[in-house]
Amino acid sequence: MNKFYLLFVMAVALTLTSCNKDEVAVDAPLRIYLQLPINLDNASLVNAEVILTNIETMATYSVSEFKLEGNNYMATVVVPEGRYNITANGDISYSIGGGTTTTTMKAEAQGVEVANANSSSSMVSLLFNNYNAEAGMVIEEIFFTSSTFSGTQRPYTDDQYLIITNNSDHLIYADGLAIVESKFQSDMQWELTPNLMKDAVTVSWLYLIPGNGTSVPVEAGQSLVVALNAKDHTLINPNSIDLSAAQFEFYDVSPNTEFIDEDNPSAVNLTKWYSDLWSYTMLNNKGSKSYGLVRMHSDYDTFIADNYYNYTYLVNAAWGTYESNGDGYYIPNSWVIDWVNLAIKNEWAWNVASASLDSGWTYCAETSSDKSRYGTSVIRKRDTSGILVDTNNSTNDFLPKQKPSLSK
Amino acid sequence: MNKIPIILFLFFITTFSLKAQIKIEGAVKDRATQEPLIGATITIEGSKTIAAVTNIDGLFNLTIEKGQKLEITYIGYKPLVEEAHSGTYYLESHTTTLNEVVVTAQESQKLSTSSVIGRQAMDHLQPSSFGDMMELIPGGRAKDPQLGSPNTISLREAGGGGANYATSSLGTSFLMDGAPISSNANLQYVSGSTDAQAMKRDFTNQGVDMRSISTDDIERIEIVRGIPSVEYGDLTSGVVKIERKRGNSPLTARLKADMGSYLFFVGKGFEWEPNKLTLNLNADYLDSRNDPRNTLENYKRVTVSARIHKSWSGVRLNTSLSTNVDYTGSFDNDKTDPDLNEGAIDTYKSSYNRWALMTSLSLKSVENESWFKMFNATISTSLDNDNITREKFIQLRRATIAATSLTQGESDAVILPYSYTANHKVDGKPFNLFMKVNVKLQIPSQRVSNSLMIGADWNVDKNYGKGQIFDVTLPLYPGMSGRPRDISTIPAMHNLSVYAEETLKTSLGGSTLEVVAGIRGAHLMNLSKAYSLHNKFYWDPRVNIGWTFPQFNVGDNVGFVRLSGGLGMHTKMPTIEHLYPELNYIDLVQFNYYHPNEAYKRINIMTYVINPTNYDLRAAQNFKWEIGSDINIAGNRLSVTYFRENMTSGFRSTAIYAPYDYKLYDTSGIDGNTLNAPPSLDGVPYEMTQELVAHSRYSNGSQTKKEGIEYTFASRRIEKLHTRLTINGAWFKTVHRNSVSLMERPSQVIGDKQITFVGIYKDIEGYTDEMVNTNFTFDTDVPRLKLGFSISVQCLWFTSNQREPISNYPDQYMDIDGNIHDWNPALAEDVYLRYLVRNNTESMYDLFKVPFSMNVNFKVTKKFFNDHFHIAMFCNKIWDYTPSYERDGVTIRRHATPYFGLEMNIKL
Repeated sequence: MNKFYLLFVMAVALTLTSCNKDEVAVDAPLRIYLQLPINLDNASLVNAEVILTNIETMATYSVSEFKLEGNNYMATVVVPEGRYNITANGDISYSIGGGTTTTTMKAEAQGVEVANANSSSSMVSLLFNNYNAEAGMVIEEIFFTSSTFSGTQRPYTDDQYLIITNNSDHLIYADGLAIVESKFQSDMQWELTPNLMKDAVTVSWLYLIPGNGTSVPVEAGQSLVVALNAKDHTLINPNSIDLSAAQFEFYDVSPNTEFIDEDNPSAVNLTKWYSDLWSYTMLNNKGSKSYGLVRMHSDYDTFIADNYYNYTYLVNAAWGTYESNGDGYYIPNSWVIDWVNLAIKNEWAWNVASASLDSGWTYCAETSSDKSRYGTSVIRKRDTSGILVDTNNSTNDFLPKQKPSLSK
Repeated sequence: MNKIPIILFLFFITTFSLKAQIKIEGAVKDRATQEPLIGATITIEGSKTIAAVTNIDGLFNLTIEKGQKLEITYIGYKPLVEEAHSGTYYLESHTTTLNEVVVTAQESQKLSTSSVIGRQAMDHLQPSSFGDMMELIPGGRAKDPQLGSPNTISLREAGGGGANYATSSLGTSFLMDGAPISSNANLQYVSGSTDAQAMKRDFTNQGVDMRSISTDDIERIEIVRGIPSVEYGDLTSGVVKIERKRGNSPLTARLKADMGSYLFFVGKGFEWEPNKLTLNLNADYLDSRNDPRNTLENYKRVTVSARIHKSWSGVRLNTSLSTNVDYTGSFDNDKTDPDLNEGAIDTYKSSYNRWALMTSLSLKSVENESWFKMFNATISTSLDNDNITREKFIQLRRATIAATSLTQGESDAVILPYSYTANHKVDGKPFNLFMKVNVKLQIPSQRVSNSLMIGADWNVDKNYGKGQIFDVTLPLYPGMSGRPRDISTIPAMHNLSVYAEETLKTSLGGSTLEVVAGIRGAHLMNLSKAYSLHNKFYWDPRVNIGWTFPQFNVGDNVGFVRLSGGLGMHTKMPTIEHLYPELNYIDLVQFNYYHPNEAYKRINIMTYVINPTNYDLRAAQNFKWEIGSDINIAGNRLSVTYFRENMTSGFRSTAIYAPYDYKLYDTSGIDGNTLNAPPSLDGVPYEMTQELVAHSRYSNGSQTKKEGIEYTFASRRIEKLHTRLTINGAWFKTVHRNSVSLMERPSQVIGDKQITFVGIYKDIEGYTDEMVNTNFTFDTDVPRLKLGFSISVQCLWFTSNQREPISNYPDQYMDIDGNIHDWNPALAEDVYLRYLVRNNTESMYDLFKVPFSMNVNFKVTKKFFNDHFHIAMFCNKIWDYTPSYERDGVTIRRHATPYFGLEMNIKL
């Protein structure tokens, strides 16, 4: 964006306004402040573009040159008086886990009034949000509770699945997206050192949808079913679900007879990057772990080398407090496309991801021994137009304890 | 030692003096206990020289002039002046009086530190099983009975340590009337078990289950905590000697009920005086529940015993012959209510049926001057019929396979049905044969009581059971690589031991010196040459020395002090399970083909059969030393012992990693649509790969270090109050740590492979436990009212637990090819090797201390109708002080709930 373009746009806009309204609007200056997230270390703006849309005329103006003023980045733009919706997009760099990373950020302001006052000009502060929701791909459903055998009511755990859906109005390629499980549990709160929670999520496993970048096109409104085991489970257990049509499955290669897995050739295997356990992967069937959809910003080798996270935490046991330790992999919040906090309703202690990713949580189990959780799912709500609700608050966005959408 | 020639010289002078006078043969005994007093000094009144000293049987002989009086002195006893005669002289103790009621454990007068529990103490304690006795020994505290799982013994130990530190209980020898209760051939574990029902009841390699020992037919228990005589072997920690009732006793019935159990006992002793023949018969039944509301989980015990004793008195020899026949049944049941388990079967049953037979022959010389004192031969045998039956309805949560191959090589796995009932049986028939001969000799002496004991024992353990019996295609623990195992093919274990021990007691200028020194050699026979134990003798030297200072007067009363000390080695041979562990099967999935049609699925496995026997396994050895003092003043007695024990070679199950080759087939080329049978392996591409897998092996890898002070104070009974105070307690500090390097493989998976390195660490664990306790027992006995009661104030001053600091870094590591490399700090940055670095933080080494708590226990017994009827009750924790305490700002609340019971005894 250069100034010439800006002037051009302004000129056109002015012309249009004057034509339509048959009156000449008075220009007024607007000072725009871009605030970087205060929770980031050594954050600096790499580039940014702010677009102002006049609510009445729909004319747009943009500015992309900012200068540092104190802790904020500032620009002044002169636009006709009126009300504006403002969106900001930009890249910032910051330090995390000993290295530097770059992330895309955005911010919005609605109905900002620009008036020509003599004393002081109008101003707006835009707080950059380091959560970059890639508008579109969302987790629509998580069937984590698995089912029970009919008759005995004993658990059958092999039929868990997730549905991820393109909630945008355009085609999205899903390959390169990762499905992750949180390392921490919502029913056990830990005081972590170092604490990356505000910047990153820590995962206990990470699986990638394989492809070359355009291998897995997902049309607007379409979904992918990711199964723990993509087979028709109703043949084994009539209470279960037919997942033979799932596009993807978790498949864990292990020579260990205890951890044998089934590889259905009809479903594509997710690529395993990391798991903290040598056993086969399962979703936590009580709902004490949370799940996310991540757009990976580094390759496998870099990720494995750089995103290792070693932490200590305080355990408050019945007989005292002591420090324990653990490890996992962290993923910057900015890479997270969608995050769904799960909990056991009566045992929720904390959310295992920053509130910017998900400020609420959803559930199937009321208590940790609640057997009625089996065979229920959490499903994202749809608004009146059929679009999945995504306010980054799972309490609001999800319907808890639902009949799984794939069950007959 | 160089005093002996002088002593012998004096002996000759006395014996061969020319005065022709009368010769007397006397015995000196304790009036209360009838026990012979060894080393009592006999002087002729008016003379200052010692005329004789009683020998190891309390006997002496002397030539005197008629009418002379003898003065007999013995430290701790009132001196006796009596006209010389042949026969028994009774001395009265300063501490115990005739018919004294003793309801606590007493410190033995012997040199080796031990607790003696008499019949009265047991009656007052009102036990259900032998485990309840542990309250009485220093460091003990009343505990609610836990009869739902085996009770193993813990001597001089703070904290537990778990199965890897069980050598402490395994190494405590239990002797029933001189015959061992062997647990060397106990193989009653459920192979591969992961369920609480089976795991909590597994006490293989952990010694004797004290629940199975009934207490009602016991006359006396001696628990040797210190350094036992070399007569006792195959132990590391101590000896529990149980002597049962013998001789006439009325028909006795006991009915006891407490909050978790009820017990019924009946017994009678017959005696045919002229024939010197006795017969004792008794039986008991115990029924207990862990939770009184749950009828499905219970423990039952049945014991039946018949004991015959016959003795003959001869001119030169007294002969006695004993024969015991015993049955013990010990039954655990644990069943899940089908109504609460969706109708599914889930049962665990374990039964021990032990038949034991023993015969003991003893010849005792009645001649004082004989070199031969005693000969004893014991032969005992026992056979168990032990069964564990586990039946469980299994419903798989996901597809699971079973490896079935019993030989090394490739084979197809069985795909398990999703629902089935699994049956797993463990059949054990441990057999034990024990023979022992023991001879006591002496050099006849007027000055030194001495005896030389020489003996040998031979112990055979064998198991004739069928072992682990189950259908591999319907396993109890799906996915686990277990196989049935017949244990009857395991060779018998023969342990031959020889020993010699010298006991000396002599007076030196008013003081008394006692020395017991011996050596024991033990040797495992019938062991293949491959074992390093083959042809190896273990020698255990053990010495106890005591020095008693001359008696002194405190007002009208006397006092005396004994200092003692000892040191010794103690050896416990490995058990059958340690020497012949079951084979390990390592099954590696190499071909895993899924097809929607179950009939076309195929899983191929490479099986490795690993013999996990550690041929270098050695015996566990515990070195002990201790010093103690025994102070007696005016009938009040204080015994204090400081001890240290160090066993670095305790048995431990360790994981041994090694790489194993297998083919990793790529099944992606198989076209499922063209199959009409499971796919062939031929032509399917594969890559040879390796996996690091561990098998378990027994090693001498556990160290248990014990240190502590044990003390017992027993007051004289205060006559006006009819009350006696006993204070006992202990400070124990125990360290449990691994003593060999151990291997650990990180569980993380990077990419799709588990970390392919194994860390080798010198330190894996180390815990220091400490505890200090004191029990104050006030017991009151009012003979006029036939009433006895006691209040025991049991203070646990603190318990603490602390981990020992361990290095965060491995010392070495193994790579995927099995090569071992030294660690260097730069490796901590490696993407994969960093997983071998542990992240123990300082706070993990914090001291966890649980502060003071106190329980008050109350017990009462009352006799009616000429002692024919006797009623007793106890209430433990009738009052308690268990305050909440704070740790790191968190308030920790504690609770104590009273536990009570009631019993009736009828004697006809």
